Amino acid sequence: MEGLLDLILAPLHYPFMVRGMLAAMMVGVVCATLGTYVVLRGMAFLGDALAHAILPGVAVGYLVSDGARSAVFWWGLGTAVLTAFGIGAVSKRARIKEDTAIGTIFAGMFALGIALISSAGSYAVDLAHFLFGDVLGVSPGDLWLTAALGGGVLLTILAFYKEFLVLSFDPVLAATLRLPSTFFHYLLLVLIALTIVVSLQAVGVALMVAMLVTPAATAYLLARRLPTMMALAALIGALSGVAGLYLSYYVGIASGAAIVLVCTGFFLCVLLLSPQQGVVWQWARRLKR
Amino acid sequence: MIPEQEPTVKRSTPHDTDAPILEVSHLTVQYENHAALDDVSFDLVGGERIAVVGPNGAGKSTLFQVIAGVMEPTAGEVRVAGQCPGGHICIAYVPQRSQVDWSFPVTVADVVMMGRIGQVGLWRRPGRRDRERVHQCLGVVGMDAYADRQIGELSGGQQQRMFIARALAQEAELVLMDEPLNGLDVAAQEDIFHILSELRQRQVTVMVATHDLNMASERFDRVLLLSGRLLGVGRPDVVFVPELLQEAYGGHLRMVETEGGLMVLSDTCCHGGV
Amino acid sequence: MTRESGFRVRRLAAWVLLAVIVAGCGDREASDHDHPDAHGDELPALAPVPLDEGERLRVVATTSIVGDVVQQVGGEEIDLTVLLPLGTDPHAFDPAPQDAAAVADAHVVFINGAGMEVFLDSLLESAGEGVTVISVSSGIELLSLEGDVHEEDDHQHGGDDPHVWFDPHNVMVWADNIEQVLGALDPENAGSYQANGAAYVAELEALDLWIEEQVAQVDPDKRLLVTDHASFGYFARRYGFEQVGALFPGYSTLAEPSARDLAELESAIASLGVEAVFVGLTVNPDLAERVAEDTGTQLLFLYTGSLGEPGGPAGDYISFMQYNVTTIVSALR
Repeated sequence: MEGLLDLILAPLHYPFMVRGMLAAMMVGVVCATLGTYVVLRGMAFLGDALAHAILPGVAVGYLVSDGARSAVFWWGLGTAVLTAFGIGAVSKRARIKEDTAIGTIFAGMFALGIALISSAGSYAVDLAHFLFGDVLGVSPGDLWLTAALGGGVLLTILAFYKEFLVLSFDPVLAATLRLPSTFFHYLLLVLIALTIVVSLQAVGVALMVAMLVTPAATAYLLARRLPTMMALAALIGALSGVAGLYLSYYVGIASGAAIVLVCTGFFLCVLLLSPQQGVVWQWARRLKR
Repeated sequence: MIPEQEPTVKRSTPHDTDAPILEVSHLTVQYENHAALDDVSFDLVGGERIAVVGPNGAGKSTLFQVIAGVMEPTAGEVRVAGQCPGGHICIAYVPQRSQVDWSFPVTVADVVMMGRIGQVGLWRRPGRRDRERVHQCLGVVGMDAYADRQIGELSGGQQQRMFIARALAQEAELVLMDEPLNGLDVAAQEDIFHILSELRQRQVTVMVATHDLNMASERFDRVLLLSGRLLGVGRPDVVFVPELLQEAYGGHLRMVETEGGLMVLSDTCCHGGV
Repeated sequence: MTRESGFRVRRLAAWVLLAVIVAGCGDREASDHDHPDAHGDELPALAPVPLDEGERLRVVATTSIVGDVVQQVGGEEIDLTVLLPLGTDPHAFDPAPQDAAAVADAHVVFINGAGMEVFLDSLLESAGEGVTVISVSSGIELLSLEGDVHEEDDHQHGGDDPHVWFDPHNVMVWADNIEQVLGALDPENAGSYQANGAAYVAELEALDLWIEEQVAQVDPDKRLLVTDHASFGYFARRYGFEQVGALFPGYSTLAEPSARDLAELESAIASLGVEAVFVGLTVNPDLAERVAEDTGTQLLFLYTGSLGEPGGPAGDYISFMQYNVTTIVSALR
């Protein structure tokens, strides 16, 4: 028992581990809660696209301010919001499906970002941070920003819980009840953009979609009601963040990847073993017959 | 039977109680290369039960969407209780069961409660009165015992009744039902009709889109034959005459003379209109 | 509804995309086949290049440091192009088409060698046949990952330390190699190259002495270097320092440290009483700042992979070394 306690407490001697875990937990909770809607509405591709589309904003912010964090953050956020609106506008205006609109805009923005960063000469290092995250490099200031913005996102989701619920489950009902659907649709996109920008530091762009989708998908397999699904997703997200960092500490693998691997591990466990939906039990039942 | 109560609905526009509950005039909905609805006009009175009948692509769903205020028509006008549909929240749309995401993590009570959001308002949470109301509505449709079931666990008939309960919770005065009896066995269908009678007693007007011509002629006071254009509205024996049916269905219909009258056999192709 | 299957397909696509990106961003080893960097022990025999009246030898150098040394030896007689812009991290450089064109046009290309130029293969492929590539580090005894001397017969290049320029003696070898090659290609000016080379080597000797004097001011047990990545191996060996740890594992700035790596580094800093962390100017200092704050050490910036602006504190190799040594010595004294 002593040994186990030791194992748990040892990493916490390092301030960067404590900060990293706090950041990963907060990011896990916010991403998973918002991710509930992403999963239920089939917006995973959109979430992934927004995460990648931030790159040109981040690049410009980085270049104009010589790497100052706040500039990078605001430019990234602005770009994400603009992209969200852009995708909405393109798919309404032209005849192409939303899926296609997302694909074209996503790739274009990402390429623009790479072009901008590459104009600065050597960029693979910063690009790597952007792609894979830098959770061990979180500063105390970053933590406060994450807490404030993450808290704002959660409050908004709570405040408009029933409206988002109706819009997600039955848009026609929303229309007959005269809910301002367009407003809420764009609000959700802005919330996703905000969450992505706040969470980029933890896992980076390449793995962001996992933080949005995987804990919520796991909770989906376990929950019958939406509030339960959200709470479970948040819990799994937070646990994955912490466990991922422990993994990175004891096994020595990159932290962002470790977090996502833990998320995925949870998902696979539940997929195979959950009492209702678990693949293993379904096989067993089939064999019994 | 729900005891009579003061309606809690906040109507954005006051109802003109002398006007017919629904007036449709010269309604046209034009898509890129074809007209889904072409110059459709008719009236409905309160408490009426009317079947909207027609082949696939006749425009039944489109008609419902315009009436519900979800879609703007290209031309023409719809008035609900003397006003435009946009101001009301008393129009309930019961979707086709195939269009619903049954794996969504909500219970029956959650779905019925969704109907009350108009009454609850933007910043508030549903209160005890709302929960009681939901309970009562579930009682009317006989689904009280299923309040905590996740919606994927329901049978077809139960799913339909849940949506009717939601329409009741919404305090709707006009209910639009899209193919509600598809895939239901006779017992389940009877349940639905029983509930529809309850609705009639409460002066709730019901429009039902259906393929089933026989059921339409047997169970409904009036029918509306639609095929892009309005081919006829009135009593079934007046509207379901061979010339009009031929015009509506083209070659997809067989009519058989029986002792009880004309029996109509239609294609079994029909699921979810175009 | 096929929501779930659609969602799963997209997740799979996301993972595939990730795998592709990771593969693309990963540290690519220069392969052994077919180019002169491979074993770098001997310079190839070269024939003179035909030059027109007034035409100078066209020379390309990869890093700015190599470029400076080439310029010192070549002087006015060569037409030099340096590929990497100032401030570029050599580990992360991605050549543009113009670079391939310059290489294709050049009479000779001088590279750092020892595995530094991971982009070399693709660059040479674009440039086409017939390019003469010379590793200036030919003949230098290379260190391997553990800091031991590289075995002569063991031609594994996965673990070589390419940062040879931090030891002026190695740069003297560079100057010799360059002089030989230029002399072979352009015999007319061989005398000039020889003279320049000799003069420069003398300057490097003076630099070496000066560094020894400076370093003597630091207590032997305080000669501890914590850097962003393991670039000071040759410096450490020459002047009696120890590379205690680095933020980024391995020889490149592209690897990402795990939590364990950082924890080990901070422990080492604490237990050895390290007083300063040195970070290259071409690297993102975020992580280094955090480590310095957490361990209460100073954070100082050094020029590592690239020279600074001309006229600035590190405009040429000799000032580059002087600046770095001054910074290190004043911090650790």
